[in-house]
Amino acid sequence: MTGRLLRLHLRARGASAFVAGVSVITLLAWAGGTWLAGRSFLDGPAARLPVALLAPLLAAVLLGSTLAGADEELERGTPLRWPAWRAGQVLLAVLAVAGALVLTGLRVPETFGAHALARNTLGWIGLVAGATALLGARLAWLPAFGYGCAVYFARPRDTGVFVALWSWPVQPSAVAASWWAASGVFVLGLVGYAYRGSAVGRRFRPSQSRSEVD
Amino acid sequence: MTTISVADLRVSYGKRVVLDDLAIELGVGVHGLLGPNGAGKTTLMRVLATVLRPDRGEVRLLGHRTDDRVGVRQARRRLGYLPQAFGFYPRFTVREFVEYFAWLREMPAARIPLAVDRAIERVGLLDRADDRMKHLSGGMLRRAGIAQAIVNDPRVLLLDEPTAGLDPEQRVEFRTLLRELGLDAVVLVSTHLVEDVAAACARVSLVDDGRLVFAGRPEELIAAGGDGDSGDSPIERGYTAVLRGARQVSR
Repeated sequence: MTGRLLRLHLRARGASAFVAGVSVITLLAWAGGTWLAGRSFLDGPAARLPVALLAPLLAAVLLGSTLAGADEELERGTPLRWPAWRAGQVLLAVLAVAGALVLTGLRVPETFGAHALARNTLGWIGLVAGATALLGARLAWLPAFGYGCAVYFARPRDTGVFVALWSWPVQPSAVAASWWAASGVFVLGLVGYAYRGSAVGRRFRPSQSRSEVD
Repeated sequence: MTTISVADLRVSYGKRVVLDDLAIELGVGVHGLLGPNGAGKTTLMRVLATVLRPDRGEVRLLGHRTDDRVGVRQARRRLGYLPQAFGFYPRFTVREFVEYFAWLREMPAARIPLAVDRAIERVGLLDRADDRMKHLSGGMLRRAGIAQAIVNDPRVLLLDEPTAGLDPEQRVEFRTLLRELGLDAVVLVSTHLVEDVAAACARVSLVDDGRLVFAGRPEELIAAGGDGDSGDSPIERGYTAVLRGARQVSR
């Protein structure tokens, strides 16, 4: 591996647009979180739930567009160790997004602050990565976005294990089951994406993704 | 020497069998792959390009089995592939696009700059090498695609409809390039343009309904046709005669 290949690969994946987008999301998360936490008519730091849910979700959606090359078929026919490259990209993205967003929630980090932002970054990126393997990068945002909307509006107050497992994005960060759920989604998504890559769109193949090889 | 060997190949999409019991052996030289729409040409190219796993059968490229993880990586280093429709990288210049695929094919770093320039020159795009791909015409994009396929001096080169979008002059130049490449590599060209096969290919294979129905020299395909067969050229008449004969036998 050389630096030149890495630079070309990052450009092929639109990394600069992703970094710019995450920077904007980070600024908005900081401004939104600060404003919500400072309103006397709201719940204080607990009012930051929409930020804790939405900021990592938007960053994961942005990441989804970088999880496939312009031509997956051409790339798959090359000898590069793609599973390692794919896993590396997702892990780097988690570190970058979580690192940036955590900084915005350091004030009262345990109440929908830094901790929840880190947990939700793991979960949303895992979900988008897994959806990329099943649906392709173009549609990978859909399950995460739909699930995010549904769970926000359902917003259960119960913090029991079963409820926490399915509503992990809106659970207080002290609920251990929410971390287990987000981590599980992340590991499944990471492994699925690393080994399968992006499901190839119909434009390039008339076949089922099951038959594709790395 | 045989560099592509396929035996007992079967590929299906769901319940639809696209290639069935197909066997083919190809050595160094330019080979044409002909057949009507839906015959299975692109599926065969994708299997040979190691991007589609067959249901059954053995595929060997340069002696390496494609169902072996180590073998397939070694084969891919010496493989060039141009799909029928390829997605280009709009942020890349032509030079960067070709260079990217040189890296992906794990070429030695020291060889890459020269190999990139040579590949771009061979497809006649050197004067546009630093243009972004989003500013190229359809024919130029196709030539950039051919350049990435040949940048690693492949021993196996698979070109699916490579002349689509090329003007007549470019097609003539491309045939010359094909003949050069076929001197020390196995070049398989899938096309609907039978005149390209007659002009550039040493061997021709004809696929119909997922089966290989003819393999031989272009002159043999021409000889299979008669005055009563439809077609504007001798090779077109041979093509339609072979197809008609194969379909009568299958009934």
